[in-house]
Amino acid sequence: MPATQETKKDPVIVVLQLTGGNDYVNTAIPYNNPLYRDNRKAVGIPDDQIMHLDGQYGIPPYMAPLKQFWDDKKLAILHGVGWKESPRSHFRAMDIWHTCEPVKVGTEGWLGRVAREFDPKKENVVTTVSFGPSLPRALAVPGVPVACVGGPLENYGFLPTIQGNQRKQILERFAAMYKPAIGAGAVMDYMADTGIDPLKGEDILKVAPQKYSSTVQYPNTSIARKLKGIAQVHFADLGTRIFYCDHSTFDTHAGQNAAGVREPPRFVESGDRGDRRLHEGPSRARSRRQRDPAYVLGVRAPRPRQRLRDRSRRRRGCLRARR
Amino acid sequence: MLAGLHWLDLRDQDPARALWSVSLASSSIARKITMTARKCFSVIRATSTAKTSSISWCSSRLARRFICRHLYNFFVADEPQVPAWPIEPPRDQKAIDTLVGAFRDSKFDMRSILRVLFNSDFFKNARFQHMKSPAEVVVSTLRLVGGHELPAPEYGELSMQPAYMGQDMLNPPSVEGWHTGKEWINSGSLMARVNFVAEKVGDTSLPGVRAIIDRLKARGTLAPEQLVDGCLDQIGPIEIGADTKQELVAQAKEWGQVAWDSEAHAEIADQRAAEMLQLIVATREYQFG
Repeated sequence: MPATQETKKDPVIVVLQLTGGNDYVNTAIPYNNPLYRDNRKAVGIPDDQIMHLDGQYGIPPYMAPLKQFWDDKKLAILHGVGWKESPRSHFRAMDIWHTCEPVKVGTEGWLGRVAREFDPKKENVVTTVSFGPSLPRALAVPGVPVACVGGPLENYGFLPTIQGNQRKQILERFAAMYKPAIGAGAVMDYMADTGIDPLKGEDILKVAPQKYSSTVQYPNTSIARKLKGIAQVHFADLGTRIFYCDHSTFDTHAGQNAAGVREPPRFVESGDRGDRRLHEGPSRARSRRQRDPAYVLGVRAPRPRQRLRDRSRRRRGCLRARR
Repeated sequence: MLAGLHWLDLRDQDPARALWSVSLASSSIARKITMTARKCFSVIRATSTAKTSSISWCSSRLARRFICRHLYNFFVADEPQVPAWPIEPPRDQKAIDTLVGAFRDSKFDMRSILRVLFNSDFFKNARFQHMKSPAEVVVSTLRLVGGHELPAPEYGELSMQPAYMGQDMLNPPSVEGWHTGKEWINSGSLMARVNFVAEKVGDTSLPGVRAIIDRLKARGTLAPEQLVDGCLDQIGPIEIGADTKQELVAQAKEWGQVAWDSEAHAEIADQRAAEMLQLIVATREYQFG
């Protein structure tokens, strides 16, 4: 959201999930470090293509749009973000990532817990709106409604083929069928909420596109449609505080990926956010790295005054402090 | 294989699962799976030395358990998500033990284990325990309503339907694959499931829907309860909870009795039957396979 929006409204959070692995040393390139060249003979960024950020690190050419943010002091890179005792299992790492429960096996998504804080009495069924066909694990908390919008907002709603004076009656019947019943079991109860909440949210969300007009030309891509939906709901003042979308792995029009920053094919794919090896190569079995960089972007990106010392291999802390 | 097919004829309600079990039980896929499993185990054996033989034994034992739990999760009842398996015990330990035993005794023959599975009580008694995956929803619906046997221009859109429900075929969200069971359901995917199936069963021009209505018509004038029972019978048969049924009957009562005795009545009756089918596929019970 543009900075001018942060006046009176409650702040909102927009999450854009980039599913897949990030290649640490190719997205924050330690270009002066000889180990980089030793280990990245094939899957390395050539020297003449690296865009230098400071004396130590650079970014690859496909991250060029971020360079401007760096120069404007709106980007910070935090090194070595992770957790102790990384399980070195991709699946477990994803569990932890979405639940913020590094020790026990969590069942509640971290952002769903935030939604519950925002709206503990479930007064607004569109406090959280997610764009995409699946419910992100970060939002999955029993009893917390999440409006998942799979297609265009205008089509959001049950049984659109039944129209006319039958419709109201049939939908009331639908709601009655989804009433939670005693002893029906946890899954049936979960489905009861999942059926009734969107029924309430339907009329609210459908109006959002009518209230929105923009001069922005959205490309015809999956991610652009999602972001447009987010803008529509946000500007319709429906009280939505949390927006979620992911850069889906499928695209209805192959090759039209221009809308977002996609991982280019040069990344070594070991599929894990939490583990990234230094060394390229065919074997994906062992991961050495347990921590990844985090890129913080925005007007209030953190800028530590003091430059933290480079702590040996893991290079924790902020690599650059300029102010 | 025969046992599996026999069972399918008798009581299968979901063609997608039936399709799977037929192909698994009878075709070369079963042999391929068996071969792959054998190869895996022989690799484990070949690479193990005396020092690591206990690890080898352990890993093949774990592998057996893992494969059996997958079969149970696919055919019988929803297990926790796969990453939780090392931590969470199976919901039916005895069933898994039975399958693992059969798997081991048959030297990893997939047909044998499926025969044991399809004949077991835990399989026959499982009701509302397995959430249909989007692929199962779409395939079973298309087989029910008919008219989609031959390629047609709309196939591109049809092939996208599982993706709208959260399962983009051959393109899982991560290397982990899809989360199954309850996690197929969220407000968006439930909507996509209900709307897709309702649109299809509400289209009285489709041969399968036409056939259902014709069979209802053959029963003569239908009282409200008869309409509900007839539809439930013809679309499945499907078992639904008492509360759900009460709502369906209440709706049918609003409409009054349904008859095809005159042209004007028949048009309304067609519409009522289609709407009843739409309500049925919108139920929670219908989401289970």
